[in-house]
Amino acid sequence: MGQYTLRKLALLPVTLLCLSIIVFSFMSFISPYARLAVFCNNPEALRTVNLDVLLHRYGLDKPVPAQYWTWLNRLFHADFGWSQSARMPVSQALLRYGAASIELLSLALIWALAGSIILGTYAAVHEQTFSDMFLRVASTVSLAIPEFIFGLVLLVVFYSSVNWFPPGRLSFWALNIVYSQGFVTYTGLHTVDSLLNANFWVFLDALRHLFLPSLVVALGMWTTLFRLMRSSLLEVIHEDYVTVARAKGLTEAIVIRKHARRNALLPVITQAGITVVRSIGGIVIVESVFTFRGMGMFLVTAATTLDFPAILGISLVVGAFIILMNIVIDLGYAILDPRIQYK
Amino acid sequence: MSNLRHIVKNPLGALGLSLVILWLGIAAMTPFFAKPTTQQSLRNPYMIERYGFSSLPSPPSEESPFGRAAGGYDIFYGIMWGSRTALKVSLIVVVTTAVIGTFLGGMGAFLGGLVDEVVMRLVDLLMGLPFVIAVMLITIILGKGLGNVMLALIIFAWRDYARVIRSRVLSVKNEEYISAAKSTGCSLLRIFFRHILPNSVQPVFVVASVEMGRIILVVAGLSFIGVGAEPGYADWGQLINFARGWIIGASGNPFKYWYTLFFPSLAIFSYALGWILLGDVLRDVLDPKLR
Amino acid sequence: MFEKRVWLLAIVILATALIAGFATAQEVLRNPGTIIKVDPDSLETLDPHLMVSTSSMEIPNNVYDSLLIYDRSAAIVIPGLATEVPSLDNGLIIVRATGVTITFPIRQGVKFHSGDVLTPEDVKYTFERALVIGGTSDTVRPLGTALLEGSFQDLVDRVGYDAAFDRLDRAIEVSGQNVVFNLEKPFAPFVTLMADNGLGLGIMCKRWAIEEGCWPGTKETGQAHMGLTVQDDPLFDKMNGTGPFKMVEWVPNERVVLKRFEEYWRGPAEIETVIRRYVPDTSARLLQLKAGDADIVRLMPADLAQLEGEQGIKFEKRIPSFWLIKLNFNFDIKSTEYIGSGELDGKGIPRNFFTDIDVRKAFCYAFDQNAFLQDVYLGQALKPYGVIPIGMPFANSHNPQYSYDPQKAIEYFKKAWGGQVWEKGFRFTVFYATGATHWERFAEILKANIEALNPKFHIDTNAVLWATMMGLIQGGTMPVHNFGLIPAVPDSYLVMEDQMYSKGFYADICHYQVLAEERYDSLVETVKESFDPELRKEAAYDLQRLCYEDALALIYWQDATTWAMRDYVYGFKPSLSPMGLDYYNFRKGSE
Repeated sequence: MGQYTLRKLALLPVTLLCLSIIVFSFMSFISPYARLAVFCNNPEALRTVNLDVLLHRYGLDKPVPAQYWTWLNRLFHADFGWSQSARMPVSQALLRYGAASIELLSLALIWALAGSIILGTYAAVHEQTFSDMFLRVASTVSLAIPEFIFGLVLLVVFYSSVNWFPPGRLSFWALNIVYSQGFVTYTGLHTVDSLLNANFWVFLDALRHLFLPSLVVALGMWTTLFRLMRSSLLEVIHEDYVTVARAKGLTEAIVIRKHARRNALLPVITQAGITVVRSIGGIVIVESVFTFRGMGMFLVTAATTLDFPAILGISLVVGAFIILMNIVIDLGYAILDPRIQYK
Repeated sequence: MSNLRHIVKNPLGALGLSLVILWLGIAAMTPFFAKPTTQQSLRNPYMIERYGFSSLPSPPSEESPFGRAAGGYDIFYGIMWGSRTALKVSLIVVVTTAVIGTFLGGMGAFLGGLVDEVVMRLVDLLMGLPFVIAVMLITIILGKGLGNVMLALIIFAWRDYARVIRSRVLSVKNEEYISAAKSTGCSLLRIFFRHILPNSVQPVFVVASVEMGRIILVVAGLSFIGVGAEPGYADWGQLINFARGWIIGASGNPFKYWYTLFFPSLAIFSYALGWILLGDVLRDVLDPKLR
Repeated sequence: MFEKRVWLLAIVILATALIAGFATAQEVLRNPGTIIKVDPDSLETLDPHLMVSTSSMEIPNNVYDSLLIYDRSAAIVIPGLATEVPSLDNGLIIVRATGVTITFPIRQGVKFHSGDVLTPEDVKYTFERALVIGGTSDTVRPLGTALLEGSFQDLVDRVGYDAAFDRLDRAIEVSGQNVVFNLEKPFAPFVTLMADNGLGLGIMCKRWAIEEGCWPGTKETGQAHMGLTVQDDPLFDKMNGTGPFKMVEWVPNERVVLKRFEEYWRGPAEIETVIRRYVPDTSARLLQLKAGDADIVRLMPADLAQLEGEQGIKFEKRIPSFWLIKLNFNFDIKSTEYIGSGELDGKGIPRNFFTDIDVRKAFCYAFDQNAFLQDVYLGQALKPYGVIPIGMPFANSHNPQYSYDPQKAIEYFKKAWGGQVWEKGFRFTVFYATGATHWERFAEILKANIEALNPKFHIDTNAVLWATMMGLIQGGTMPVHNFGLIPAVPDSYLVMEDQMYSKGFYADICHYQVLAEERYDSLVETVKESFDPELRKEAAYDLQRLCYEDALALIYWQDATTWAMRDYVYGFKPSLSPMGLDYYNFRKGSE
């Protein structure tokens, strides 16, 4: 087990290197002038800038392998380069936007886990009743709802008509506070930072803006987790030791809570990891709909303007995240099922 | 046949099957109900019929029963021909990825050793590159268009099948009848195709059916952020993209342009729902253990 | 038990969020003393010398001042940081055989935001810096043309760094309280150039800039600062000007905050704070305006329909800007990638297809301009007179123009290439950038119009990313180019240089240098060098007419912006750049 983990971890930098080479080689198919688009965002500007001068100035006229080598070198000095689409160094952008997306994902995960555990338990306990059927149908139907449509509809209802949950990350007055001198940004997650700065109103405002997007992401996560919770709890309920506990005279509630649920939770937690990885794609779309400035929007902007330092940075970070999550998930499986042997 | 009966008896299954059949029917009948009349559509019926170039959407009328999106695109036409696009795309992607995934994942698991390692490394690498980034890069280099989106999807979507079939094959290959077959001197290939595959392939059908629905959601999402079909191509995601700037309606009437969002959403939702319900019921039918 | 507690917690969170939401949703006049503008474009940098995007220029417009001010309503140049407008009459412009000197007396007692006092040294430093670092913004280029006949880099390539720097040093002199420009060749647009209202040639503070890490201003250090990149620029995120507002905070891709400068030399502004927020999504911008979170928004034509009649919102419509768009014909297409077979056989076009004037004229008559302006722009754009935008000096309202005339188009197509075009037909691709709706509509209307004339005419439209398109433009492989010009200051020379000069931008990418040299160059040079307004006007009129006669481009659209704002916003004034505002007179509250 330990050996397996170590091996996989050792492979991580190699995988990331391969990743960077693959992404970088995409560049050879693109005209170098195309990469200047990020410095020159409309055609009328072409009259005033001399593109060849710009090409030379930004080192884009060198051959691709040379550019890769320069990039790799800088990477070893922890310099991810400059992202013009973000108007800041890539590392800074990754931290800032990464924090936003982590905040979104975490809240979504909380909703999804809470919802699936609670509702899954309820459904399992009340198996085959109407509520159970309803929840199961609901979970299937929600799979078919495209996230962006759901998001758009929510925006129309909750922002357009009643202005309860606006898009973006913070309201105007909260932004003023966050960017002022007195406020210290510890993590980049507005919810956490505002609590650390003891500002309850900003915390609420951040939540208010996170509410809808996290709900939309949670919807995508909820289905599988709910079903898994329900089915694994059902399995456990019919196990012998539960019958024994019942025979001992313990109340149903305690039986469920103390014995059944704990064992049923393991597969759900592991599956949660997989769900998080799956949701990364959905984040891009949800952030776009809600103008929530996180990794998703950063990626879309970088990709459409061919901002390669940013694209590379994002690929590496997200790639590393996914691979690490997979290792954690595999470990989870191993804990779950001792029969599984990793060599 | 008993499977079919089983599906129909289950109310959700019946609903799913009917939705799927409905959309199959619509797609088949499209050339009759949505005849191309403008020059452009006559040349390529998948280009949505346009009436004028107005920057404003227009409400449902006799000519355009579902209204027109901004740019004069006939929504009814777009939905009709979009159903063909949806089926085409989901079918091609699902069949190709299922075949590739089953073969690679199954062979890898069955043969074990180096082959398995290589396949798993490949899966890992593919999992490492975020799907959306990959699709965007591919579309940027190769250009827009559904063909390239499908290509990107195929490259990345087979890994799910591979994983699923791998776990099944791993357990099946240790069964007794397999060792029996081996001892009678059956060739490995024969064992794989005649014994292993038929017993492990059920989850693939389940995944495939669900994917038929999910793929279209992914493609619609990509069209929505602008990396999907060419502009004007009959694709549901694109119709939603047309509606994007109109969700706030007009002053005093926030739902003035409801038709731009409503019809395409309904189409996507019902199509996806049909396949997903079908997949769900298939899961119950083909393998009660998986419930 | 557990479940109930979780539900309770969720309800409490939800309730508090709602309360917080309501608490801030109540006020009617939000944010008094502050104007909030939401904009679809994000600032690329705060250094006016390196700004390429027009919409970013709004910020230097309000933070920096130039030597002169262009008053749009009266269409004249008035004194700014210089106390007099140089002209031949008041002797501040002297034309000799050896060159031209233009003297600007500098105003005294003007303060920078940092507290420094403006001196002529600052003026000299600002312009030298702009040229030495290789400034890329719209007004730096003509500055280089005026002082050095090209960019500083070009000069260095020609005569070496030392000689180049010496020349630059001589070109700008400080003499007492005056700044004297020594031009080796006459450059008539110079005075108007100095009136760009801070967009690109606003005056910077030398001491402060050097302190922040900019070029120290000496010859020895100049070479190291050439070719400055956006990320290495010390002024990337700092501003210090003499304008009515100072830049207080910039969060990239989010917002920029300007605060009133109390010691502004023309008197402090009325509004205290100006905030420009980056909101790329149209619906979000409109919603924020409706909710009162935003005070002013620039509208696309389609947006007007969604806001008209809304309570509490008023509009300023159809404000002409100098942004002109035209379809340029590529006289020498560099490869056959997008022109089918490359022959006149109905499946493509030959590489020199557009050299035949009948082809060009046919295209000019074939395009339904009205449909474009009415349907796509809903009547909110202008049909230009010709190549000089409406509102600029020397724009000739009586200039002959092309309008939609399918009969004439057919006539010219039948004449083109000895009748072969009509007989065999043609096919080529028109590109547009993804997301540029006006561009897309243009291509579609053109296609519909052309294909209706003759079933053998085919136009394919293709959407590519803007980034990809840049590559295509440089390669010269596109059969037609569909973009225009935005002159930074209202001087017709800038337009002429771009469009009709043999060494200008369009002649270069459309490959009509020879034609330009023959027919236009001497006229363009008159506009450039003559200080006699009558001569300039005559030459400009001739050029406009020639552009029509030679059907150089299909000129079809001039931008007119529409703005929507809350009805408690007063003092509206657009800036010289079409997408920006001049906030000096804005105020909020009652009339």
